[in-house]
Amino acid sequence: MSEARATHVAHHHVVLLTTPDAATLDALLERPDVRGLVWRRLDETRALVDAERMALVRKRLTEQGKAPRFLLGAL
Amino acid sequence: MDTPVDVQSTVLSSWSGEVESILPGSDADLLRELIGAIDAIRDGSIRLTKSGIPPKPLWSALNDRLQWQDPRSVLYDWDEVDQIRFVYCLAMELKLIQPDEERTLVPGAGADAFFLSSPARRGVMLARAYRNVTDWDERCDARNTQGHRQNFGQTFRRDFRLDAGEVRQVLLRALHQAPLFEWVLADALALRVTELQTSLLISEDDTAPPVFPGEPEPEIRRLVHYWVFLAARFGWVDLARTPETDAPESGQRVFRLTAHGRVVLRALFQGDGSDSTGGDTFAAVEAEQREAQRARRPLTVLPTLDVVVYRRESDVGDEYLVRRISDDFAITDWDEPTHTYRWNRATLQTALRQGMDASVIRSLVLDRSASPVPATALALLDDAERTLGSLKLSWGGSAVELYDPDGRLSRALQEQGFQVFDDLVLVPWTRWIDFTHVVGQEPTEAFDYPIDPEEPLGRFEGNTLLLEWPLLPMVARDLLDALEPSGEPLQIVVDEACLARLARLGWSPRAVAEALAGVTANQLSRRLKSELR
Repeated sequence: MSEARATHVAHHHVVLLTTPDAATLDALLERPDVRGLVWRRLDETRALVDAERMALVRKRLTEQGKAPRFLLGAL
Repeated sequence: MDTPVDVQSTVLSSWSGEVESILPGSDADLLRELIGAIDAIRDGSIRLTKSGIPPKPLWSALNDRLQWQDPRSVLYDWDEVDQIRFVYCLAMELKLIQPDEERTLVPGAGADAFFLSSPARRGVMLARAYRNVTDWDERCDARNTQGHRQNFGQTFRRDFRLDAGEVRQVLLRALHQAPLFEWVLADALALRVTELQTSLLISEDDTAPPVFPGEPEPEIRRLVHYWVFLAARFGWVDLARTPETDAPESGQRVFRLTAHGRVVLRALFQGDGSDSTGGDTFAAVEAEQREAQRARRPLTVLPTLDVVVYRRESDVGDEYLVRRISDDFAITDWDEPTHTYRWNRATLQTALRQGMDASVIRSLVLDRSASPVPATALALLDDAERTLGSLKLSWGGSAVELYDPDGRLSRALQEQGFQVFDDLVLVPWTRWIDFTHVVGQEPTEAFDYPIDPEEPLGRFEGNTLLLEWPLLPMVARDLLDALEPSGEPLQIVVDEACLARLARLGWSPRAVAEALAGVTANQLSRRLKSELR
């Protein structure tokens, strides 16, 4: 973000990934095929993931036996 | 034209005479057409062309599901009323449908949030989407007084002084000045629009038309007489006309603002909708609607997993929910009082794979069923949920980067229950109004995902990644922050030295390539492309 920014900036339609613990998210981020789909890590267990490639995110998580559950409006 | 102050706030005069041929405004047809847009792409056969234009079969499918019929009086002047493109543009803007990474149109991230909202919130979302649509334009295919064509409904058009969103803002603001439940001559609205903005339909090269006191500009009058039909389509107004008599107002179009229209316009122009006249706040209206919804039970789930929707009792969201979990997306006759859908394990799994929330499905089915949900249906939901792991993907909101040098806003937002991470706050769509109250302003609109693949956020020239916008997107943000782009436009050289530095930070070249593929819509440098082979 530009240092000169003096306003709030909104990004719409983002998707939040939540893992049960930090170790799970750490392990996911070590995988190049998942790391490239994580946009920004927010804290130990939460990260914004690629909202544009959701099918791919779901597919890669499912391939690891971690089929995600979708939650509406639970950001 | 200088705008007198009272034009900004004076309520439009009402028509006290008789009216006839009343057409009640309702957004029901439009909402069904938007469900139709989702239905039209659910079989996964609609792929955007390489130029990003939807193929002809989608137009045909949307046309087959169109409820709107152009009134003859509208067609007389407005011969390019392209409602198919209108529905498509709204569906895309609301993210009801969106392209996946293969450019195939799929049910979008916004669909559940839109259809499962209260009617008031849905109305506001629809109005905002309408205001933001750019690939469709109200301005007609007629010639103005200077002989210039105003190409209506086409992406090809002249350069107007005002863009479509600005035109709609003027029209909506003028409508916001209509009294509730009182008939108003469409000419009075046209006059107010003329007073607010004379140059509504003028190209950059034209001079503003002459305006005479007390008279609407003729082209604006034509636009407004068309536009009130559109407003009725959103449920903001009812329509009628004055009787044919010898009086000057004989046979004139009249409209009246509906309660729904007032709620939507207040939310657009007054934030929470409260005003000095003591009207209900948006929250109060929404609570009342939720209560009324809870009192109705429009579904019956049978042990065979047939689900009957009783349409007189149901909200469009009920039908959307049941329909998405079935594999019935054929054209439906909306006039039927009931419709029966069939669920099975596969259709439910498909819905969950496409992003539906299992807990929302369960709670709504339990909440909306007229009779106890049979064990077979509950077992189906249980089985489907058991296949899901402990990872959660949540959507239905925005991420806002705060400008908050002293941390005051972060603290205030946390006190209000928002999740704040350093300079970033997550805002569920249902709490957007609360959020803007706390921060005191609407944020700058940055990025709305997904990005149009035809207009990626960045492009490579050799090994140099050039970002198109001065603001950083949220896409691949950790990586972009690590890359520290600079210059104008923002740019970074992604060469071997850069990749080596990133590797020390835990970014393998493949992960870099995957991340930047999202930024550049797969237009990577040769070096990074090799990582994805």
